[in-house]
Amino acid sequence: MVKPLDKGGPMPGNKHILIVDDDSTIRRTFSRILQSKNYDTMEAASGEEALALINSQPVDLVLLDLKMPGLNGVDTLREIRKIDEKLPVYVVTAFRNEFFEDLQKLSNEGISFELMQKPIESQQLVEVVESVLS
Amino acid sequence: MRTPCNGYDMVQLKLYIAGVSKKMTDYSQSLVDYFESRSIDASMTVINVLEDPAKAMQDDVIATPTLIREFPEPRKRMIGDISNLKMVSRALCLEA
Repeated sequence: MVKPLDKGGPMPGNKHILIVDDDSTIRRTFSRILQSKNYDTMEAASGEEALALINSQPVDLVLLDLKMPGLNGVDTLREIRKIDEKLPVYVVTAFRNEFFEDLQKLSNEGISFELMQKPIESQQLVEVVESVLS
Repeated sequence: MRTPCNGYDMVQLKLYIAGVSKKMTDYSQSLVDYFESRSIDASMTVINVLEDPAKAMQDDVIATPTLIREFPEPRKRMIGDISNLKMVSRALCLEA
């Protein structure tokens, strides 16, 4: 399910954040929090949808879940870097994760990303996003 | 007299990162050099969250990169871009 920008499309000048998670509750929660701070949000329920959006819409920041059916977060990140080497990507994850070894391999290959703790409080989410997009 | 945001001659920093990149290694070294150039004796510990997540949780790190001023107390932290050395220095209250 691809859910492009709410409110009739991107607001000029606003930053566009792509939230990639197969859990619709998390997507909606993140969207609501970030929209309340005047960020435009897009939602993708899978890695494949995320790549389609990155290829077709302006995206300033990606918040990426790891555990997803189909392309998981690690594979999605690898594909994102083929499209855009510099797009900021935050992998949203618990800080103990079975994917950490794969992420370390990506890092060793020179693929850049940052980590964001999951679960995260709304104020902390905003703080992290602002630190990247301000 | 020491003001709240300067006058320190020593600082201990801890930097939490995701993976090891040359860019981040360069930034952390630049930061140490920046303080040294201002006669502040600086030490930096760099921790890769992917290798040591327990330490990150212990320090309540919510995202990378996070830079923590361990000493002088009280602890201060900043999240995000550490490439602007002056801004980092101000955020950690090491420079007015």
